[in-house]
Amino acid sequence: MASGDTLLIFTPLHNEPPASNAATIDLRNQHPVLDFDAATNESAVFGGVMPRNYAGTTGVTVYLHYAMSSAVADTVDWDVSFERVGDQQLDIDGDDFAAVNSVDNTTVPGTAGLVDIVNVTFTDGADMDSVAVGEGFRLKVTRDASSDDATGDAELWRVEVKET
Amino acid sequence: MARLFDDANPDWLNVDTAALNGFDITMSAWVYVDDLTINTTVLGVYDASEADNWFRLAIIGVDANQLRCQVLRETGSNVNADTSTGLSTNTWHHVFGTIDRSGGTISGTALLDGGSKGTDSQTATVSEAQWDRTRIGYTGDSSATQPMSGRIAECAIWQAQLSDAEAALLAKGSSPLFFQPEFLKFYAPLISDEDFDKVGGLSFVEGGSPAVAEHPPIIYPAPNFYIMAPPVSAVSDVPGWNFRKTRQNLLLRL
Repeated sequence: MASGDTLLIFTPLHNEPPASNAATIDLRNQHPVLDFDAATNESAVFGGVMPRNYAGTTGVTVYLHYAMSSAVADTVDWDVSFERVGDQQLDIDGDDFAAVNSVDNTTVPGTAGLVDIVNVTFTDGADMDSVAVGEGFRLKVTRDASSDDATGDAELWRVEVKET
Repeated sequence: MARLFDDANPDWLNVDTAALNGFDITMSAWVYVDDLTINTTVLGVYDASEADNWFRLAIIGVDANQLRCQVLRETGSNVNADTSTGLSTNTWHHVFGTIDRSGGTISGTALLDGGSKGTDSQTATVSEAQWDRTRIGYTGDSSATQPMSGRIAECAIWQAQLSDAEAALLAKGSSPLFFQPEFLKFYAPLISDEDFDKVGGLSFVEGGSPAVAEHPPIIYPAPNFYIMAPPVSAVSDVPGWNFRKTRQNLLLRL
């Protein structure tokens, strides 16, 4: 796979809600979205398998497509992290996400409902919890509401994992 | 987003068609109750012209906040299956009840969050052919009462008796679509203000002004995954033709 090629795409219906502080499903003009609170850090989790065509050298970039429920000003912060499940690498009775990488202080679109796309890069290796080709993993997306200041829900519409 | 009902100015969702007209019956929903000092109604199917001859899931706030699976009979005794533990306020709970009929006996079970099972069996009769209303958040008989105070989401009714094990899985957040779909007669997720039965096609009309509020976390059947395959080179250099080499990315649908 070449740098710049899409590896995986997730939609809100792929969400595997965490046990607490989960982003919740909503419909916006019949578009399924995941609502992330403005007051509490909430998360969505997506499970996948790293495609065999991932080169494993340049890492990945995660693109978040989101719209604001009502805010037309101020900023939003997102955290993204990987959890390697792999081949006997993780006892799935517990969570073990790696440290987050963040995209912070993004000024939200001036029209609520316009979908903005932000991205977070991960170098290959420990930065993405050493997920290798053919290995199962989970991807967690969290709105860092405790740090951002845009009012109302942030609504996640799509997630793309691209080879950097 | 779930639906939020206010008991002070009763709100409900109504359709004058029964979700089903026969036995066995299973009801399932998620509730987030903000007032447990009163009795409230979650979901039921009714004979709209009668004070009895209907069934519902209800929260008995004036007692021990139990979940009740209830049948109001035409003759005989009412069936009241109450869970052994009660709900807490401002917390998502899964509510589940089954009703079956054998001869002249109607039996009910109620499970709260997949456990605390309560049962009741009574000699009773109902006229299921006369059920003609499905209502969420309020009783739908000839004199509506016991409105909900709180949120309701993921309402489902099967014409089958789901097991306690299935109730436990529903209570873990699995969508009703995963369970005996061939018998699922009614499914209204109540996401945002989409008041629609996705299985039976019933479309609800608002009573009062129910609002929208945060939905419970549910795992739904996932759509197909889309994955990009490695690029391949197009055929080129056919004699007599000038093809430009191009690379094509193939979209594979798993």
